[in-house]
Amino acid sequence: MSDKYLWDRSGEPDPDIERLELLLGALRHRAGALDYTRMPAPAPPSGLIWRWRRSILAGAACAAVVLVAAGLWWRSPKPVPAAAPSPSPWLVRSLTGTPDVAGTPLQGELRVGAERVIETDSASTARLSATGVGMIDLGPGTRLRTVTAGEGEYRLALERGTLDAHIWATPGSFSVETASATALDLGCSYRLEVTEDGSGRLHVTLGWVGLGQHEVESLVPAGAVCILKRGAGPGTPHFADAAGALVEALSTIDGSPDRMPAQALETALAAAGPRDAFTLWHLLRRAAGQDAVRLYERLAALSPPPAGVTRESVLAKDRTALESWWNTFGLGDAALFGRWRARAAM
Amino acid sequence: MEGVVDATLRIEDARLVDRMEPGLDDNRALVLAAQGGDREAFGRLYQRFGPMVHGVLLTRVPFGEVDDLVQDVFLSAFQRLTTLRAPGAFGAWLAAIARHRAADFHRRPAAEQMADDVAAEDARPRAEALAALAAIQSLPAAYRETLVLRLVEGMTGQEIADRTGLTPASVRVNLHRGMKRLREALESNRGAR
Repeated sequence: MSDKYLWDRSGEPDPDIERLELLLGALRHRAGALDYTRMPAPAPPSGLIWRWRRSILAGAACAAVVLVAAGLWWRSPKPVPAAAPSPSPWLVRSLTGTPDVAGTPLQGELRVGAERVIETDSASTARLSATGVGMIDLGPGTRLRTVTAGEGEYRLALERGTLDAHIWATPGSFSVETASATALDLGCSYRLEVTEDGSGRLHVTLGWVGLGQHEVESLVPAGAVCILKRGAGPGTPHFADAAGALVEALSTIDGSPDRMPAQALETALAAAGPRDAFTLWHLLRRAAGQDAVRLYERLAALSPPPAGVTRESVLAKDRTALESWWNTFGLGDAALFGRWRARAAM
Repeated sequence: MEGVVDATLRIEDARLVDRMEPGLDDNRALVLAAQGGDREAFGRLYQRFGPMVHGVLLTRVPFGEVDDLVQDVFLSAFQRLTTLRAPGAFGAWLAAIARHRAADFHRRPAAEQMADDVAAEDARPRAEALAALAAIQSLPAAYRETLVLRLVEGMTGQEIADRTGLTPASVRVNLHRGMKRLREALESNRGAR
């Protein structure tokens, strides 16, 4: 037996070990994204429980007194205090050159409020950061607006140019509006580019981004890109290194929102491999009639649906069936869609 | 203001270490960044330590359950990360969480486990691979994890030591003796057929 090969695959290969590696490699970990939406509510550390209990008992006695006082106060007429504006979370600074903030050249570092425009020219770049939210780098030739958002929400609007976002805020709390779709952070890093005409491209490098516009939604995992077309919303996401023929066919399909061009669909079905299952899945959700049947058959051949997910339920666009199938792709939990919809409905 | 600078430094540190070959110091920097709430850093720890956690679970629970439990282990670790006092011991700490999580799985009601086993059958990639895995699972505990990390997850002996906190010498012994026992077990299975 070759211990060298067993240790680090150097030295003379051991045929038994090679065979086992080949066989057992099928069970290897397939790293999808870590799904923070499954995070349970944090429990207090056990060492603190007694301290908490003591505090609760002491607090309960005080609360009784406070409640009586509050009841008396509640019954008396009182003026309504004006809501104090919360300080803006965004801090902007120049990385290169002299960016412009609200029409004024940026000197040093500046906290920017809502509805302010930050603009870089061809020789400048800038960085926005917010404690507990993340960091957004603006490339040259970018125009970005800070948008008024509700409590716990952080919103920007990219009018043109490029931004690189690294977000560590709670998934679903940071979003970027563009003319063609809104990108909702689901725990990730990504690059978003928007051209002068409002079209664009999203490339996710870590985690997930949900893209939506009206009824169209796309969920883009790490390593994938999605083209945005003004008026058409987000396109069909695909891996950045997907076959050229598939990418070209998707571009044709996304450019024809009413019906799928037969030749392009044919090409997409032929060019898609097992890794492209999530791309076909997105197409299937948007397809109807025979197009949907053909997509179902190809997707089932590449990545069979799990037990309980029938052809009929998929073709009827049953949400549970589609999301159960999605969960077999190893790209994260379809619960992300729920988070996307909940946020989109707000 | 200070928080912003801290956050910026954390993420830039994490990017810097990602360009280097992962080592103990790099992992320590990532753990420190993740302890400050940096999800990108924790994402990198997930990429690096995911196979180790997967391997530890694979020796203890049905194959069809492992992916879900890997997520559980990392999310649980993320929540408790600030309680880890020695960032250099992250791997050993994570492996301990994985073993506890596997033990919890077996404490669940039998009915739930049965339902999960049915799901595991559906997820079966290849009967032969699962038979080989079953042979590994029949070995003494000391050999199981090391063999799964080497043969399933494709890690080298040194990587196994780095990720689990075992000494390279222990890993070497476990691999050598475990492989010998595995050959015997597979031979015996063939003879029984």
